[in-house]
Amino acid sequence: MIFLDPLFAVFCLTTILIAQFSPRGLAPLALSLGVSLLFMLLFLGPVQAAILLGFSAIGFAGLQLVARGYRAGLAIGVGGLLLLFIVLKKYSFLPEALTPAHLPVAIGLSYVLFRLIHLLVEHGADADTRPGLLRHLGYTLSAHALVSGPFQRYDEYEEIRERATRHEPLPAMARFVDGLLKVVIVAPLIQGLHAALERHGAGPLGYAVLLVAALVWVVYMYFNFSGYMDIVIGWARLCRLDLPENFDRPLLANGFHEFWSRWHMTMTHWFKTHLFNPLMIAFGRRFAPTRRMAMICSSLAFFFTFLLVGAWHGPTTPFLICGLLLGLGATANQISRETARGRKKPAAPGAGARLLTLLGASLTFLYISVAVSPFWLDQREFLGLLASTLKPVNLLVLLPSTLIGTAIALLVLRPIESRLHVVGQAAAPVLQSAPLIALRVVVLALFILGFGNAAPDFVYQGI
Amino acid sequence: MVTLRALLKVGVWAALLWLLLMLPTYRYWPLETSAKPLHLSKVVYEHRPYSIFVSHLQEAVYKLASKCPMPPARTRLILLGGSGSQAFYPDFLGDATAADEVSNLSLPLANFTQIRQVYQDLGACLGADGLRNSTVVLIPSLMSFTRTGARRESAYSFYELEKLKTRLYRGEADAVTPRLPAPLMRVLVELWRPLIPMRGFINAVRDETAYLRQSLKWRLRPSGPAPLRERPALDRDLSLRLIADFLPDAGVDRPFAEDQVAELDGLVKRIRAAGSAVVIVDQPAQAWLREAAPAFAVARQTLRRYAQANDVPYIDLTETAGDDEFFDALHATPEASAIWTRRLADALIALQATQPSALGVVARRAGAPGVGAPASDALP
Repeated sequence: MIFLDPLFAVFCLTTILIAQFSPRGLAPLALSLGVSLLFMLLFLGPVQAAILLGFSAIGFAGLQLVARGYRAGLAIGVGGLLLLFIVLKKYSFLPEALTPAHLPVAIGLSYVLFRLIHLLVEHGADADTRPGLLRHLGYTLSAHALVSGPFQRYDEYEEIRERATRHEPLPAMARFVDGLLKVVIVAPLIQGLHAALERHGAGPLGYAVLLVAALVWVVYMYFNFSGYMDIVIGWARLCRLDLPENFDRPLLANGFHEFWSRWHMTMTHWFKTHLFNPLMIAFGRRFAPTRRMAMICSSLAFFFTFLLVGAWHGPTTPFLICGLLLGLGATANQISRETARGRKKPAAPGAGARLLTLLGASLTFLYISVAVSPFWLDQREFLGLLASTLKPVNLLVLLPSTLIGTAIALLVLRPIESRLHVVGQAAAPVLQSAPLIALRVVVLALFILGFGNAAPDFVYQGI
Repeated sequence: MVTLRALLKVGVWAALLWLLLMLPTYRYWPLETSAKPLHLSKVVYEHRPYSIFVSHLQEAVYKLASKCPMPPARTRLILLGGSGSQAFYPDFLGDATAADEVSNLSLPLANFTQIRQVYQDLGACLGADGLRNSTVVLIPSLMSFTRTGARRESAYSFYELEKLKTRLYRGEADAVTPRLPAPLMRVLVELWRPLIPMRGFINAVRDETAYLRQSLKWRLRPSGPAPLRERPALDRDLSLRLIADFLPDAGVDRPFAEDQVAELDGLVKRIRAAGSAVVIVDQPAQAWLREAAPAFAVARQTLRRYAQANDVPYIDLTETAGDDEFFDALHATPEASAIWTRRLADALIALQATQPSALGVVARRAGAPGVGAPASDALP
């Protein structure tokens, strides 16, 4: 794990100190670009750094095509980048001859792709806002958001650099330390629970155990991913930079779309801006604007968007199936929302309605948890899990029981999650005092140095 | 500047908290100068688990680093071997020789590669003069002939794995080196004090959780004997099976990994090249086990032949102990530890009587009191 490397501690501290003595923190382009290049060289190695630089430079060439007014420039740029991305990520459906076996899969490539496509689509044709080469490299390869995101729009990135806000240091430090606590202590504990459940995935209750394991995996993923986010957001703030939030209490979500508006928010926003909205516009131009047609079009747009969301998560066939499941889930949710739109809503929902909402939320979590199981199941196991849902005993007994169990777990976890969310932020000032931050640092040191094994990598890193 | 002040504030608080955690460790591992003899705690031969160290491996790694460099002028008798030879009291053996100090650096799970690694580290602390002033007593066992990785899939020895766990060392297998020069390593070892008992604490929690889980399982669905908190005494079948597990290459019939025979030879040559004397001792083994596992006889024969062929003084204690002196297949009971030490001391005295130079610099001068007479009186 990069963030546990002693060299990273030195690097991080150095960047924070530079940011303190520089009048505008790490905002000046030369500084931020220098930090990013050094970060890539030190922690990803020269080969991965060269891949990322090359990929970004090709994106810049595409930007020039669009800038010069080539009609097909945008399509060539986006298409070319996607093809190159598929090759560099070594998608499993590619013939072996096309996958460069000697090249490693560069960490952070997906986030660079997000930024490159965003630049091509939104700033390629706009001479006023289109970045020059250095700004382009600074934005696409920004050290703080390279490994685990988040995705940040170019205009926001530039505005934040201009502003170079001086944040309160203690809350930023608390955020950083809490992120490490999540990644180093909480997430591995949950991962251990998941591994124990996975080992007991056989036998008469095996299906239910695997469903619970799938749910636990998502909780693990949450702590791992949001922990990484806290680390980079805290670090960036200490360098007088701002990164957007990526999570907003996802356990509070009651439905599929609400979940995705609270989970990996910047990715959802990117897909909405660059895929869902253009699809809706294209459908709107082509089909008559009836209510029925609007429902079909939006369902289709959701389906394709989430199909790609799933496929983006990993380069193997199970992730395509994951995308298919997410697409179907999004479509079903959209149809149910559209259908419910015409109905009258009661002023205050009764107990029955609240129970139904809770069960709906449980179903959402269970469905998404199963859909993303390719993160921990291989193709055969994943298909086996899906197929075993159709067995009568699983469908009629174990699935409903797990659903009720999930609902109870949500009732317990939601208040805790709300509290956890405020850790490191203004709502819990006592946790941001120097002695309590120091206490967390000591606990972390005991765990990091006391255990021979390292904390898990960023959950998307090995995919 | 505000950030700098905040960083300093957090840093100072963290340092204070860390110091607070360091304090209790001095009760169990007092601060020692490098002039004080290197003694590992008496966990094994006194069965008193009062140390803060999880194992002798952990203790050796930390203590060696904390005592480096050692004063080279003192004469030393150094015992090297595996868990079985941890039974020998170092402090009592001093009376049988003229050594200024005796260190038993026998570590569990040791094959000859690991014994050589410990010797190398000791050599780095003693320097050329210190090694010249030392005599090595090698006390291998059947287990010393197993290849590295036979007991756990790893190219690293257990000693190296323990070093890596501290995060103070790094490197490939058989090339694990300290991250920092010796003087800085001593400082880091001091700072690392709160981490040392951490693993023991975690292990205790893990063991207790496993016991509670098994108990609960047994209460819900009783089948077989109820789980025990303490490990039961090993019966002969289980002992033999465990030994066979440690010898995955050929079972109990043939113990040898050829590279370990070469390692033994390399180790003896290395010790001699440093100007030290070396003695090989074959440690006691139970009669029934020697019969049930022919590998014991093969190991004994190999050691004896090697010693004869290379003119290494050899002491055979294999058949000196009764089966009641063992608490499991290979290790001495607390009472027997004292008896074994006495036998070894007597054997060393007898060796000096017949071969005055066998113990090198730690040999008692001819005519000195005790030479030729048993040391039994001085021992428990």
